[in-house]
Amino acid sequence: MRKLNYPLILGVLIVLILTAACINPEAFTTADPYGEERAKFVFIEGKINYFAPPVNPCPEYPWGTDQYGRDMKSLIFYGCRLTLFTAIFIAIGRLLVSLPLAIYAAYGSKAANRLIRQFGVFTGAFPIVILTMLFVKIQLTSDFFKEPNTIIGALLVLFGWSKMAGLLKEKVEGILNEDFIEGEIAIGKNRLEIALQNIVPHLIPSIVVMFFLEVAAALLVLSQIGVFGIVMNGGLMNADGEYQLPYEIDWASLLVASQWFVATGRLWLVLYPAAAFAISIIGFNLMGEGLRMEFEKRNSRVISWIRGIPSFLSLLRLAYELKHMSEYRSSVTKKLLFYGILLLLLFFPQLPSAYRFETTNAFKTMEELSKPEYRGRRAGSSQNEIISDYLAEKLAASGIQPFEGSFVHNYPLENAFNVKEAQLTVSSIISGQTRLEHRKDYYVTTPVNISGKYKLKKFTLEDLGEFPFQENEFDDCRGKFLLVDVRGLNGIVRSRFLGLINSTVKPAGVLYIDAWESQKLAKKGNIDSPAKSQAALINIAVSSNMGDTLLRMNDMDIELTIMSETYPEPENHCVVGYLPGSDETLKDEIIIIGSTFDCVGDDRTERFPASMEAGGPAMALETAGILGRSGVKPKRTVIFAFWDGTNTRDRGSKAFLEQYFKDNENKNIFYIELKNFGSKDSSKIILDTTRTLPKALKAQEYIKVLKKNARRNELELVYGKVSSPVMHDMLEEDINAVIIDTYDIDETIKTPKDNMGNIEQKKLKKPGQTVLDALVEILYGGAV
Amino acid sequence: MGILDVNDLKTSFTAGRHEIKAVDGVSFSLEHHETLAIVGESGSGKSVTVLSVMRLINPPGRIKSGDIYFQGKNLLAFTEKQMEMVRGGRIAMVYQEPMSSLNPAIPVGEQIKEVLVIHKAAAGLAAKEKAIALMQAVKIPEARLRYQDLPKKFSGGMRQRIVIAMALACNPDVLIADEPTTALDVTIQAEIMALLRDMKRQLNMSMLLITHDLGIVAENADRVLVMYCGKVMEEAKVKTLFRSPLHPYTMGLMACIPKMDARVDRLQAIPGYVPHPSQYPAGCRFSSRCSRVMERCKAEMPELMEIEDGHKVRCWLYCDDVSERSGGRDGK
Amino acid sequence: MPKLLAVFLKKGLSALLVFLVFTYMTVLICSIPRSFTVKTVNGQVTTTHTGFQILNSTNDKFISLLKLDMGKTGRDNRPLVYLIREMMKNSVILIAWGFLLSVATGILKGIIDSQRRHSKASNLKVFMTIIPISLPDVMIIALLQRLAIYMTNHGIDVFKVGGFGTINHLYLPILALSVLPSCYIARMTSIAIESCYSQDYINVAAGKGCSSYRILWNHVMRNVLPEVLGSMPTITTILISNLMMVEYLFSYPGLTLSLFKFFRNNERDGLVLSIILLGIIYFLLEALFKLIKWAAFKPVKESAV
Repeated sequence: MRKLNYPLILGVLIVLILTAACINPEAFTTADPYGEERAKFVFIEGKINYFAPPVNPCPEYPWGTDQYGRDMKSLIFYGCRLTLFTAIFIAIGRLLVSLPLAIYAAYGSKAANRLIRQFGVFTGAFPIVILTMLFVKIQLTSDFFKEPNTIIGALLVLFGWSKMAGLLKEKVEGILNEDFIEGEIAIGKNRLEIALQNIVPHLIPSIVVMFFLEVAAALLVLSQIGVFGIVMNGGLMNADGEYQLPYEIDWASLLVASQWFVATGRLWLVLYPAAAFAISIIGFNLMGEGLRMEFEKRNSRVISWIRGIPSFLSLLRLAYELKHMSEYRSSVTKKLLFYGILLLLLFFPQLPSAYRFETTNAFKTMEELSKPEYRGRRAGSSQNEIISDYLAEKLAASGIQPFEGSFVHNYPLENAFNVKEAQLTVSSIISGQTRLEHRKDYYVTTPVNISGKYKLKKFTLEDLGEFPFQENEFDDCRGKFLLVDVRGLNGIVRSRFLGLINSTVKPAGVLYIDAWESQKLAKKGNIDSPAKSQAALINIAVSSNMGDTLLRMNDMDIELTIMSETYPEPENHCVVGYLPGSDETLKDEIIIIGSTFDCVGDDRTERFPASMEAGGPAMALETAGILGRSGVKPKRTVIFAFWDGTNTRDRGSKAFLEQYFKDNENKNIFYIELKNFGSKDSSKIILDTTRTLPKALKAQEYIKVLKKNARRNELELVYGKVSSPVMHDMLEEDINAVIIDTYDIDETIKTPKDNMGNIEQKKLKKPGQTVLDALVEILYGGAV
Repeated sequence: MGILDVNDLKTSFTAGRHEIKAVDGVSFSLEHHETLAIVGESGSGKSVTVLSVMRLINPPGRIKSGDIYFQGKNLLAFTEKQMEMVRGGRIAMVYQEPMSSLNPAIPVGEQIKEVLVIHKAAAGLAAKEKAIALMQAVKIPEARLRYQDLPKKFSGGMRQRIVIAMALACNPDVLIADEPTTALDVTIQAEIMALLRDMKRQLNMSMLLITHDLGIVAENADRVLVMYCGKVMEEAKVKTLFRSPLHPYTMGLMACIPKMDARVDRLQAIPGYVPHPSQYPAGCRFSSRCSRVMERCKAEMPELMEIEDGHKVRCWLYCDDVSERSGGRDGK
Repeated sequence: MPKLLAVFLKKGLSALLVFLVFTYMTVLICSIPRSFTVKTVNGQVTTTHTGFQILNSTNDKFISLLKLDMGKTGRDNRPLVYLIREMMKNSVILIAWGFLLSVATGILKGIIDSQRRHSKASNLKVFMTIIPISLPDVMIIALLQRLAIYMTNHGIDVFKVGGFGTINHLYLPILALSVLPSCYIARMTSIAIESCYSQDYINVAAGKGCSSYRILWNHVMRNVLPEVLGSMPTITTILISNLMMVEYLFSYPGLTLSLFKFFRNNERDGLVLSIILLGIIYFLLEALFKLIKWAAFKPVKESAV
């Protein structure tokens, strides 16, 4: 029995599996790694139990979930790619740095020798993890390298090359001592030639072995760095502890906070990432050592095979063999077969999509919805009624059926208004007149029509007095305007305070100072929100700067004219159509494609066309049209919902779901939200899958279909969390939901900059086609 | 009965699927106080033979069968502990590569002293004195000063002397010299061989001398064994072998030696190559290169036959003679 | 004798110089403010803090260190000397015992591993040497802690999973600390032993009648131990980086844990001192090994001259 090189075999096996996981993680696991299990109350035998992540390993989650509720198995398999790439990047980087230095040093360069030695001493005494830690915190490194993993990789290359350089130097010296080098010098080769032609080829076995061992070493360091929490690959966290920006998964960030996990009995949280590291390190070490054993054998089949590769791939040789076909028949056939398979894999001809997504139609819809006569599509306005009729018409024309009898579903809105004109001046005897500019120094947050002059009095939390608050305590505030500073109060206190002012103190109106302009962009939607509920009084939000100015004044008078239009009997007009599924067995599986067409409305002087926001409904409309016109019945029911009122408290989605989809335990509903599309400046589409449960198998399959079609259409996807009010409603009803949105448009959304001038029709093609193809696959068959 | 009797010794190495029969049925007898030379090319099995005698064969090698009698006792039946007593004490060996035969980290004097200590010939200071005396006996200058020196500080010839000193430390009965001069310069060769002859005479030892150099054989040996491919091809007294070699192989070896008094245009060589152990021919192993090969040679392996007194040969050329002379005895 | 003294002095001075450079570099790196970056303002490329500022800050701190003024902690204004007294002592205890344990087990395991060289299971031996050094510390520590918890739950209250105070608290950290270095040493030892056994003089020693025991201890180990000692600097580096993991995961109040606290709170003085103390430990260990190598294997050294 020939003795097999078991270490090499096992090493190669492990590395191959890891490579497969890098290329195609979907094949190994069902769930998307971003989907999150949620905390909830569960009734078990009549008692309430609190069920929250992290979840123990159980039948639904074979490896458990992490503290955010993400499926561990998916995290490991999807995280393989970034982790391995970083480690390989580090190994190659170190090699590129050490090789020339080692050759120089072996040639006798004192400087190189000293550099290698001193660097080695320094990095020996100063642990590399601490060095990395210190440099990561410096702003310069994040500005320069941007991605967390690139930062870590570059730092580890910079600080860790000396060991490799030392080893290489010894090897080069060994080669230089060989007798044949003297021969090379004798025939007149210069040092560079000797280096390239004689040294490097002899070094290749050592380099290959060292490369694999270095990858293993890099992985080990990465695991340590992960434990110390230096890599924060999750992007930024907002106040709720949620990741905001798009982020990629890797193993090191799973190890953060390991120390608490073991103590609290959650060993699996540490064990699986650590085991993933262990197996990959073992794999690369075995490969390195196995290859080293092969190289030391005198006649190794593996080495002869490897040496044969360049000649196998050489095209010159292939040409020669083709000329002498008769002699080399078998060799030529083998080579042609090899190239054939390679070409097939690389340029696998994609079947064209069954249906074409016409960007022209979608673009036209966006143009239509952005028209100035729709005045910013404020919910409750008569314009939105026109829009809903328009959408209903289009749906009907393409063969989509009305949902539950009608396309348009109206739901009441508590109030809806638009400020058309506002003028405000504050004056005092000492400081004179100060004019406040609408939308720069203040925003009006209640629907009001008022014109008059009032006294302006400062009012603080202390002035409120003690509980219980009696109305008669505040008689001196009646008929006056109050200036209130709510900066620094937390959300609950602030709304209670304002609420009390409105309900008990009852002045003529309130000017409250809020720090909204310290946020980078003052968005119309954001500012309107705090006092939305305070419909009783006039509430005016004053900017911080202006607020300081006003606070310095004494004995003030305020003169103001505000004209707002309230919409009479406001309703939101959701448009919902559907195609019923033909397959009886799948009647409980429903797909909902949702988009929002209402926006913040226009002011008198500023237009908010909200064109990108119209991209969602435009795309949904076109998709619905294509599917409807095709005349083919889908296997599963698909519902197209165009929401109105999303920008208010009384969302159309909320009312609709309450009406039709309450208590839907038996149903398997999947919701796709289409948000903003078409931006000229951004071509990355973000897919937010965090609101899907990893254990919802059908939902996870659909996500895979989406990703697959994105790849097919060459659409670049990033992953992260996107906020959307509709999601509240979906989560409420336990519906698995994903959001498709454009990334990096924060500067434009909900500002006047979001107009048709910013839209490029071409940009609609890839996302639109992707969604269409994915839908076709989900609804009409295919792998699902 | 000689001091050392080897009967049908077979030693093989296993490399993967192949079994390499390094020593394939070797028998000889070393008489008291005589020098027996074993001659052969590289790969003939001479070193393996003597290593088998010392039982220094490690896996993947193995002594498969045979007997080795030393002073009447079967060495192959000895326990490891008993062998350790024999090695270095009763049977000692001098090796081929003096440059790597000594431990580079231990002073040479200590290495000699070690033999004495192991075999309890002396201890402590007395052992040190004896070691110095041995160094002087093998003609190492300034022995006392150089006792503490590391092997690094000695030349090849000097190191070989130290190895010889180690070998002779306990007055062994048999000295095995495995190509002791092959790695040395010609002038040093002569010195070392002279030293060995001298020591043998002084200590009354028997010597097994392995070499491929017929010149050394002629000068030092009493009897000769010619080995080829793991088997003994010819055995004779030295004078007889040189005067009338019988085996074609031996004759070929003799012919290879350039002679000073004869005119030669080209050097003679035995045509062909030594066959690989996995590809031994079925019959006589020399058949592929023999100038007097017959059909029978390729098919059947001849036996080692005594042609005249003390002169044995393994060749079909002579077997018929034997069976004729011994009156039809089975010539197989 | 004076020649020896001269050699000592020369080596000592150069070591001191290296240490001073190390200290300076440490202070420099720690003095770079976190907001330091390169910006383009009005088309011109500038840095947020000039090199001059940083160097000034470095020099000030360096000089104050030379005066042995260690600085104070940011929070409670305690003089940082306590770092030396308590934290360093704790870390040194851990390192010392961990190192001894790892050397003892490492060499033993190395010898045992190399004894299987003749058997057909030499492949298995490769696995046995490679797999232990491939396990990340996290895994080893997590498993050890789990084991300890399991044992405690079953009444065997020997190991403590975290914290400090009794000798029981030391067992697991020392054990965890010694695992990786021990495996490295085992591997070095076994490789060195194997390469030794393939040398000619081993056969010669056998031919002299040496027992295998004698061959191992008198002939082989005499050549192997200097080699193993020579690889000690790598072992020290592994020990120190392992120390960080162990102190962190066991919440053991040693030098590296303080280092982290200072790092989190952005306290430069504490950070600098912790790193320097760690560096001192490293340099001392290195010097110790060089000394041992020189003293125990003098003959080898002399001949190399």
